[in-house]
Amino acid sequence: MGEILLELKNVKKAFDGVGVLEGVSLSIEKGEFITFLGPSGCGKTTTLRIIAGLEQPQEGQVLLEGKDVTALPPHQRDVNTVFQNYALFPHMNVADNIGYGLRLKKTPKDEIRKKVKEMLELVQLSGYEKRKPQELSGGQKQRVAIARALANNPKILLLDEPLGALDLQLRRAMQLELKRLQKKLGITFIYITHDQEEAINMSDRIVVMNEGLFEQIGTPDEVYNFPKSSFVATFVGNANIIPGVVERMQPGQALVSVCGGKALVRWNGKDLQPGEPVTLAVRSENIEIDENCGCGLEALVEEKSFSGGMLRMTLRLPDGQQIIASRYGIDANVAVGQKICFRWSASNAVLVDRKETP
Amino acid sequence: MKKRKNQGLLTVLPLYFFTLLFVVGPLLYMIALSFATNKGGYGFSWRPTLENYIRILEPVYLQTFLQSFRLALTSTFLICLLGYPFGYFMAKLSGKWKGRLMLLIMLPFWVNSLIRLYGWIIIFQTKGALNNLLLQLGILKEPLKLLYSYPAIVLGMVYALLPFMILSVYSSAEKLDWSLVEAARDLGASPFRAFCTVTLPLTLPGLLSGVILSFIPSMGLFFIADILGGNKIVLVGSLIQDQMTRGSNWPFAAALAVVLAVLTTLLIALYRKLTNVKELEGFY
Repeated sequence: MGEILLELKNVKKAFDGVGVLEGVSLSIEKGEFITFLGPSGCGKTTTLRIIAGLEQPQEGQVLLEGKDVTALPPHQRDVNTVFQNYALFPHMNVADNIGYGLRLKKTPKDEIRKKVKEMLELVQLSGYEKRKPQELSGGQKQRVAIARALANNPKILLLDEPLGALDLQLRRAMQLELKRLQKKLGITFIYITHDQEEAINMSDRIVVMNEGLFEQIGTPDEVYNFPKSSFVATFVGNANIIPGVVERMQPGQALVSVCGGKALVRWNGKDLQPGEPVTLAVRSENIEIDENCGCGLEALVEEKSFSGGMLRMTLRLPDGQQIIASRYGIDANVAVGQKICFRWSASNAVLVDRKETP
Repeated sequence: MKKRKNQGLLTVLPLYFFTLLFVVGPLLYMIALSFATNKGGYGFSWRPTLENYIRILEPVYLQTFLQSFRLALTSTFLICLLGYPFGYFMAKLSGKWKGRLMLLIMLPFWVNSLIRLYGWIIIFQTKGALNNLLLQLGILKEPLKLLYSYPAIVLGMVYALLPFMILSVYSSAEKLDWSLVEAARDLGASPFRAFCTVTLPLTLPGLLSGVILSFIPSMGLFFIADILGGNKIVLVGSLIQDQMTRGSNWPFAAALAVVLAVLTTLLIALYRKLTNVKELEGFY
C-alpha cells in the first residue's frame, strides 16, 4: 500500500431531493490511475465535481492528504480538471490558456513562458502558443486542456470523459498518450468514462458506478474476470446473467441447475446449500457452441450479427431465456433457426450478486 | 453557379433599396442641407456656406454639446452599473423566472413613453407621491424639489434606456459557457478574479452594445429633458428640435445633427478600440 492521497468518506449528494450519490467511500493512492466507470447518470461526474470542489456534498467528507477539504472552494485545492467540453478560454490564445493558473499565482513572466513551452512539448504541440482555441482541432484542444490543467502542478488531475468527443482512432492514440503522460509525471489521475475498453486499457484500478453507488472497486482484471454483481458483469464484460439453483458442491466448484440442464460454476466461498437460488454471469465469448448438439444445453439460434470482428449469436432457450454467444470470425457454420447446444467451462462462470465475498 | 449568384442579389435587392431610400437618402439630404443658407421662415437656398458650422462654435452651442455629453455619459454610466448586474443575474436564473423577468422588462414598452414620463412627474412633483410619503413618514420636514433638475433628467434617461442595457447584457451572458467560469475557478481563480478574467471579457460585447444603445439616444431624447428638466437644461436633441420648429432654421439644425452624428460615431469607434471588441451583440 502506497501513501493515501485522497479519501472520500460516505459522500452523499442530492439535487432537488433526488439522490445522485448515495454514500460512497474510497481511498486513492499517490500516483494511481483510477477510473470511474458507469453509465450516464450514475453520479460519476458529480463525484469528480465534489473532488474538484465545484459541488458540495450534503453529507460525508473529502480528505486530501489527510486534511478535510470538503468545504474548501475549488481555487484553493491542489486539484485540476480537464473538462468534458475542454472549456478553453476563447478570448485567450493557447499560451495564455496554459499560463492562466500561473498568472493567477503571480508567477514571473519568464517562468510562465518557460512552463508553457515545457507543457506544449509534453503534449506535443510545440509552436502553437499564438493559436486561438477556435483554430484548433478537437484533439489539439484536448491536449491544450490537459496542458493547462497540468501547468499548475496539481496533486490530482481530474479528467471528465476527456476523449468523449474524439473519433475512435484518435481516442486510441490519446488513451496511450494519457497513460504515458501519467507514468512520466507520476501524478494521480482520476478519469471518468462510460467506455469499458478505455477503463480497462488505462486504469490501475476501476471504480464501477451504478445509481449513485460504487458497485465494485478493483483492478481491471478483478473487475473483468471476477465481477461481484450482475451489473458489473454486464456493463464491463457484456456477460449473460443466468439464474440457477444449487444442486451440490464440489471442491472449488458448484453444480448448478440452469436453463433446463446442469452446469458447473467456479466457487471458492463457503459451501452453498443445495436448493439455494444463485445468479451466474458468463461472458458471451465464453459460451461454447456445439453445432452437432453432442452435449450441453439446447437452444435455437434466433439471430446473427457481425461487429468488431466478432460474430454475435442470440440463442433462445426452450424456457424463453435469451443467451448471447460470440466468437471470432464471420461465420460459425450456424444458421438462423438451427438447433444447437451450448456450454461453458466452470472456470468461465462466476456467481454474482452475493452478500458474502468468496 | 451564376444563376445562384443572381438569385442571391435578387433577394437582398429590396433591402438595399429600402436602406438607400430611408437611411442613406435622408442622411445625404441632411448633410447637403447643413451647407445650405438659411432664409428664415422655414426657407433656405442651396447656396453653399459654412456659416451653420461656424455658428456651432459659439460658446452657447458648445456649452450645449458639452452638457449633452456630460448627461449622456452620466446616464450611460449609471445604466451600466444597474443594467449589467441585472442582465447577468437574469441569465443565471431558471427558465421560469427568466420569462417572468423578461415580461416585467417588456411591459413598460406597451405604454407610450410620454405617458410613462408623466408618471414620473406625478411621483416627483413637489406635492407628489414621493414627497407625500417622505413627509408622512417624518423623514422630511419640507418637501424636496425633485423635478426640473439635472438628476431628474438623468433618472428619466436611466429609466427609459435601462431595458436596452439589460437585454443586451442578458443575451451576451445567456450565451456564456459557464463551464469556462468553472474552469477558471478550478485553475485557481477566486470568484472575483474569475469574473474579471473570464465572465467580463466574454460578456463585453453585450455591455458595449448596451452602451451604444443607451449613449446615442440619451444624446437625443429631447422630450425627456423637456418634460423632466422643464426646459431649463438644453441638450443637443432639444436644440435641434427647437431649430427645426420654433427657430425655423433647418440648415443650422442639420449642421447640429451632422456634428452630433460624427461625434457619437467617433466616440463609439474610440470605445470599441479601447475595449478591443470585434463583434457587438446584435450589431454586424
